[in-house]
Amino acid sequence: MAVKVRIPTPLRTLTTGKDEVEAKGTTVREIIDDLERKYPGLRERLCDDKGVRRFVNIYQNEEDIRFLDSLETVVKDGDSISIVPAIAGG
Amino acid sequence: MATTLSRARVLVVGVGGLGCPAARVLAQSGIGRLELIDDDIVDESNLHRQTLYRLEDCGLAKVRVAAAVLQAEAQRGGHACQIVTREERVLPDSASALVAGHDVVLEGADNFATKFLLADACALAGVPLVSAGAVRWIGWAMASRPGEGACLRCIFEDVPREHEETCAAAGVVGPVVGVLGALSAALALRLLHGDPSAAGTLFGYDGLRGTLRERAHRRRADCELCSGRITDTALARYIHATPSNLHSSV
Repeated sequence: MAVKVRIPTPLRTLTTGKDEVEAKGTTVREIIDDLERKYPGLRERLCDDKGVRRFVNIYQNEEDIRFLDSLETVVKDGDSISIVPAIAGG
Repeated sequence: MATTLSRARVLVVGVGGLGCPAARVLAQSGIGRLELIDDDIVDESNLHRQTLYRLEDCGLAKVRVAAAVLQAEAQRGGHACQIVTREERVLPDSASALVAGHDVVLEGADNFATKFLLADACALAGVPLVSAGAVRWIGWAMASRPGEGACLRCIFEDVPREHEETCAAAGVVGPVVGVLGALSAALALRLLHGDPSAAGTLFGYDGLRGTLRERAHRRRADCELCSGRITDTALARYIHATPSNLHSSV
């Protein structure tokens, strides 16, 4: 199962500047594991030992995975995953 | 409930990249009173994105320069907007008093602690809030209405303790804060008009892609603020919120 993952600017240093990458997996957790294999360091920016970091939002299509099954949310072919971190600047 | 625009009192926290365009729109929107809070001075590095200031303003207090420009523009446009300034930071012990009595607070602070502090203070005081943030080519904006829909803590649960990236360190491009500052002002006006759909949607702008995405958020059942577990703005709640590093704007 391959999905597109949108990478926000602050994390593009880990994806060699790519703003969208492809990852494989049947759940968000597996997608993140695949991202970690390809782009080491990414998982630590998204998750801690309790799950998704409190100041990071991950969306399956346009739905916050907190309101789905969090990291166990099932992804389907063609889904898009978006990562939206909190940003403070102004 | 709609607020009569000419009687509306709006507080803008941070007259930086986001606050400049937002305040400019609000001062000429017909609102009655606009209060500006910022303790910073104009720096040459601000000028590319903080459009109320010019090179000769460097070293002067942002709120004073901003107020003079906004007042002159409002008068030229025939708007009787009273502009009030406070050259100070919003701190945990002053936040509640500062937001009280306003119909909307709009914040463009450059740090998470101030954003969460204002989210808490506004919710506790029953004041609608517009929050926004931007770094490099991306940013976000959202409005929240106390007691209805998602708040900032429903979406970004708590003050990040690590990997914090601010515009001071990473930079921010002018068009991004221009777009999000104007969007924030639009959200503030929608709140004043009593538009129930204004709150609870997170807008994300990507200046490189040229996209504006909106995501409607629901209230999170375990949100500390919405569930009533946060009852004050104690300093300890904002780990970075010490007087030496709490800033009101870029």
